[in-house]
Amino acid sequence: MSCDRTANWTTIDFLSGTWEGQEITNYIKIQSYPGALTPHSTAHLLNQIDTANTTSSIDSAGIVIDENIFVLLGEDKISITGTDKTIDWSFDTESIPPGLEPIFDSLRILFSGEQTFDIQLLNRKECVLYFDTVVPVYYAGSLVNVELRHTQYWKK
Amino acid sequence: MCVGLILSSCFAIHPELQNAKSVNKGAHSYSIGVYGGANVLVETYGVAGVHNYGLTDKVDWSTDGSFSVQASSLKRVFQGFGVNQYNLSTGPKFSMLNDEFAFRLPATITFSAEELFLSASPTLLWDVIDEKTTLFLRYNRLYERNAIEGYSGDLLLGFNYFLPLRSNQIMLSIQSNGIGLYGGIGLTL
Repeated sequence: MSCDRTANWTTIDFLSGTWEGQEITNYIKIQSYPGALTPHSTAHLLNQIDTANTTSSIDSAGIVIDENIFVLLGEDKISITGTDKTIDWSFDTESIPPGLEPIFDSLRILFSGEQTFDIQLLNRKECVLYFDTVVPVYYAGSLVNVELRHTQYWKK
Repeated sequence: MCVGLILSSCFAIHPELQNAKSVNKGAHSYSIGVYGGANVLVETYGVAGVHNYGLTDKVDWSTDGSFSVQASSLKRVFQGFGVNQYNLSTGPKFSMLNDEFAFRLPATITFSAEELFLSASPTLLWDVIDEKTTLFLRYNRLYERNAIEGYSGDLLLGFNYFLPLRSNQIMLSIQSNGIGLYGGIGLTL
């Protein structure tokens, strides 16, 4: 019967509510290397999505650490604006080697302002958001293309 | 060093499911196995198999393949959050010194994240303790160096222990690249 209740739901209906963080995986691909997967748990995060005001608020242990506004682009993309602080919880920098700092300096610029995610999975219980991008990074005097594949996994 | 840690943790970590002894000319041998392991960043789960064909009594043509998935846990693998990697190595295997030592020199193709990587994987195998244990050392040398870190390959050290079950056909295999520890169980056919 629960299926009947959501039969006419659209993306905005499914997005509404409080989502519990599960995991974020950042897959970093560098030229001539298969890549490094750096997953980390986000179980301490709550994502309160207010679809009436199109806002998203990230809470960690009772403290709001990030606030954004979003716009749905059709039914399978979401553009999030105000992502200046997103990088702070999107990457587990403790497990990221300091040597990759140039990459993250570039990512901070990338995250500032607006980011468009693909909605890979969305139902009553699960939400998977994804984006990938190529970040040009200057390293040892040359320009290196670093590809980032970023996946956020949320559950209710 | 830290960059090296993150960049050298994800390539071609699979077991060597054979010993140093070659098969007889014209004969075949097969082994299959499952394995898993982890480094500080991710866990890896996979299946592997190897086939040897005796070109002579001392030289085999040895081919091994593996499929593995990297993810934060086995649960995440089944949820589809993993990164797949396929490896296929093929080349000659030379047994020597009364079949106690062997040297493999395969070429390896790795497919991961929609890209192909070529490498050479020279491998030493040494049978000890009445062929109950095989020590192996494999260096997977990438054809092309990594642009950022200068990464060019992994050195893998491991051993197989043939259990006294089913005529020594079941083996435990443990290996490490110095960053992660991986193990599995295999069956020779």
